[in-house]
Amino acid sequence: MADDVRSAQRGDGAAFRTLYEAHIDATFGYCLAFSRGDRDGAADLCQEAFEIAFRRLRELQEPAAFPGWLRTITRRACIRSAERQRAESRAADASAREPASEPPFPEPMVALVPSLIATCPDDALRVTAQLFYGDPPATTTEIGDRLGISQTAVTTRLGRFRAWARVHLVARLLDAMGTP
Amino acid sequence: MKHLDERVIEDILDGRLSRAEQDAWRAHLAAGCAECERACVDGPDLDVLARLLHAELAAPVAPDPATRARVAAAVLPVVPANRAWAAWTGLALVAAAALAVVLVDLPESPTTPGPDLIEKGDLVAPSLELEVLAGHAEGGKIVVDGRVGADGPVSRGQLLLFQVSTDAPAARVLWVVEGDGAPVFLTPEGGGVAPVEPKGTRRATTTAGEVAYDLSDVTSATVQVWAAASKVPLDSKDALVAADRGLPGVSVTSFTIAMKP
Repeated sequence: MADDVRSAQRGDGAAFRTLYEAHIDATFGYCLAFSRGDRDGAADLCQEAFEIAFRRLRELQEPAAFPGWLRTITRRACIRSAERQRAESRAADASAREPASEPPFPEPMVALVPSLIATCPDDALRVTAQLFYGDPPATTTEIGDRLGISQTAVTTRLGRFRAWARVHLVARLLDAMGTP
Repeated sequence: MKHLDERVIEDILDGRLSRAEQDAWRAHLAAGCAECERACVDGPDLDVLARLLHAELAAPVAPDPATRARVAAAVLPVVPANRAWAAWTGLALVAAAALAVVLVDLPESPTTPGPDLIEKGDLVAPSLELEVLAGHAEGGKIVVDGRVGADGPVSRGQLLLFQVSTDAPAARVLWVVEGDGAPVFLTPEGGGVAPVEPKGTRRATTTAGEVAYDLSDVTSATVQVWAAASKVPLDSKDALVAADRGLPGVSVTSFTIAMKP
């Protein structure tokens, strides 16, 4: 593989093709998962990732690092696409002149919420999150009444839960990224 | 150890951490850290992090053939289709006795892609001159011995220097070197000076912009050069397509040299 990278760095078209064929399935699988099963969206992300990787291939100092390097480029392409979608969504909301009816956690975060909440070590945050993200979800006022705390305290707890969830997800991402 | 914040998360996602740093962060986060949680009140969207986690754990999936072909067509370098490129990929030349060197000393063209540029008649045919010189390597540099005639010959052990010049400041120059009629080297995608080489071929770069070609097994070598320029920035893919189609705005020249046994 490193030989193919070196050959491609010298402009060998056959080596580019070899690299493409060796990595398209993993890249497509990654993009498909990120784009929630949208195959066209995944193909677009793949294209963006490979275009960037091949254009910048000569910057890669260590050819053996190509898989991880391509993965990082793919990850970045996915993040950019999410940012674009978010910006478009905001623009659409603004043009509709209606407040965005954003769910607490959009898909596929919802699928992770039960396991996330269950592993939260802070009892107060766990109980508050269970109510807020429950089925049916409770409002902050309802949670405050039920737990005997102010609405502000509920909001603070939810903010802390999200911060904990962010750290927890990064930790799990680090584990996942360490086992390519 | 400092605590997790938006910048560190960016470094993690961008793969900027060393293996040791990743391990240190794993250990730090596994132990639980209230400071990190305080620092992560703001940060990447949770939805994005969750989707990335899904993606990192996802198994490879083969795209359908049409998607595979579409993405390949968009990302793989373009090579002229009217040449038997498949032939040279299998070539394996042996040790060099005679070398050819292409020198291209042109201003770098802006790399803004020009979609449909070549359909718009924007191409202008630049002047194109190809000079062939013989030389030898000395102290890591090329010393020119003299000009080579159309029929050579060039002694084995000498270097062949193909010097290309054009009057268009942003011209894209593409070239193919053939040995005994089979393509051996061609311009890489990007239009730089590093050649595409079949596996097993040696390359001897003496100075920046000079690339030595191994032509030891051939009895004659031909270099064919295309130059394309346009009124607007031209990228090398456009130039390749223009050359491949033989558009009138593309200048072509070639030179064949007999190699002395």
